[in-house]
Amino acid sequence: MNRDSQAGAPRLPAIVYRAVLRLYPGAFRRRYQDEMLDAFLQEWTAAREKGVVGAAIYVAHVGWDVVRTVPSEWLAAFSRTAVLAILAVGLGLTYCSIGSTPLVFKVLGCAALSGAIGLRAVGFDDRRWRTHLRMLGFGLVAGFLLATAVDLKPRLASPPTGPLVPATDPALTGPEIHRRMAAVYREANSYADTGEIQTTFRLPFRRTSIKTFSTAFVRGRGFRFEFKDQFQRLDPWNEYAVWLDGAAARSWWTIEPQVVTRKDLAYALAGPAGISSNASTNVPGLLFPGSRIGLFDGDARYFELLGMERVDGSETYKLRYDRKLGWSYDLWVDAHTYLIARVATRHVLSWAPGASTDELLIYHPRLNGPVDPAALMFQPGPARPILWRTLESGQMYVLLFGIGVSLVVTLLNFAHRRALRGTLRRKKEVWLGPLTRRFAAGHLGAFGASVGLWLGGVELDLAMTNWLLALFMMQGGFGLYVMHRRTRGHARFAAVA
Amino acid sequence: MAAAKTAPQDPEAELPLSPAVFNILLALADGEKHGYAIMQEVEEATEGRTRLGPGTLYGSLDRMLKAGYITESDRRPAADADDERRRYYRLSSFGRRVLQAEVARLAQAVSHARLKKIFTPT
Repeated sequence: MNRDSQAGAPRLPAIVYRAVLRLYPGAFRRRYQDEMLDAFLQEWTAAREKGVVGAAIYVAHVGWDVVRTVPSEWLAAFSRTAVLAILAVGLGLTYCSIGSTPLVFKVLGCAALSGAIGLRAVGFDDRRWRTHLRMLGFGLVAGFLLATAVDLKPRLASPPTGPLVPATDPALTGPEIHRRMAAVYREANSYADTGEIQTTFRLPFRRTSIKTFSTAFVRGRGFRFEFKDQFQRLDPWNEYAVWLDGAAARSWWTIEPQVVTRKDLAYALAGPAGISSNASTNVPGLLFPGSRIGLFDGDARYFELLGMERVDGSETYKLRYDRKLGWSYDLWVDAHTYLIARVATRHVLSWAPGASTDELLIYHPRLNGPVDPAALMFQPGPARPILWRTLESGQMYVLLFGIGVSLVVTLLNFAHRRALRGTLRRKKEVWLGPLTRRFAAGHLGAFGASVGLWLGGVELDLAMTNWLLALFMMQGGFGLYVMHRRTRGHARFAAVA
Repeated sequence: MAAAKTAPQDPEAELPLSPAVFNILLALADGEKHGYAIMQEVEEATEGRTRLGPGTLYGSLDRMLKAGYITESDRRPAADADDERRRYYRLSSFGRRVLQAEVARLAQAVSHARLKKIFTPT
């Protein structure tokens, strides 16, 4: 092409392709854009002669060419310093992801780290992106399947349905409903419930933990409250039980596995009040009026009727218990039985802007029905293996992290040793590239796994840390295996393999 | 011209080459060419099976310059014969050794395939 021919070239394609060329890095564009435009226009003219189909095929060809080459030119444009900076940022963000940081930072951190390692790994005309993409895809699918197969998603209670409407009986007031509710519990011959405590942390990341509780009560014969929590799903349950053995109030706790006789029932139930979000005191306080257990046996004046809502298909009165002390509780009380259906409260955390925890207690109560005498007593289960009993969560994570790091070091040594043998034989440095590629593949796999978990509905946060660490290790190992298989027959790595 | 690698290198360490790089080196084996001519020759030589887009071609040329496979020719065409802004590229001695090593590698693979009766030349 010469200037004249460029001057006579079709204007619109030239304008469009020149605009497309702006997608490339500046230095690359400045150096090659005239030649690229020349090549494009020559090819375009030839394609036009083949008709509309020929032109369409060429447009698709060039479009694919742009899609493929723009990212690689940007990657190539990064200097080593920039790569190291990205690596540092990625490491920092990934480190943050070990703690309680928003999902977006976890994903960005993993992406930045993966990208930086991948960038370092992909050298001149390296063609192993296919393997990296496979790792990413494998991780994605594995994470998604893991999320759904082991059911890591918390099952949340359905929210109240329908609008909050005024009570059907305009004469009803909050104190009156409280009076009727207190009377139902006070006069109950027997009572049993099961329930859940859903605590949603907004720090500002969101995580929901679910604990369970149950109550069994026969007036004059016995009482037992049991509360279970686990740090995350699939962890062993910690159990806290309080029961009446005759007149004696006893308690048992997994982390302090011995039957302890408490001063009285109020004292015993106060123990798990905090960790059970007051599930241990809300209803027992009403079953034992005057025992000074719990909040809802208090002054009826502080109960305000907000209206009526449907909860799980039942009409409920929504009350607010607010003593103007900076906290309040919302109660949903069944409009027919006057039993508590739900209790909700929010704690604003002053140490972080916008941080709060929402606690929701869901009750499935049964009034004056038969209660199995065995449900009124408590038989402590067998003691857990010593590891679980003696290690607290923090220590467990340190242990898991240590195992993970040891595994990485072992893999590194293994790979390095094999590579060293190759170096000694071939008298050249061959190990760094493959090694970084293997880690890049593993890391991309882990990144895919975390995205897969997220797509599967898992709330990625502190509780998922050990899962992700395990996945990182698994993906890293798989990456090593895949890359070993792929490079085994390769002349360059023959000595290594 | 982009800075080429100065340290002497082992051509074996550069293998295997990507199809784009291999075909570009092959196109330059018989003399210097400008980008569009390389693109045409690759398409003709491969009977249309490899069609380099502008991004692929110039991205590869850029990296090949940096790797020292090719150099940019000082020659500029006459204004009446060609666009004087076109750049011509030619194979460096290192690039030629890399190409030879790749051809030898492929020949060895073909020879192996023949032994296994996988490949029969037509």
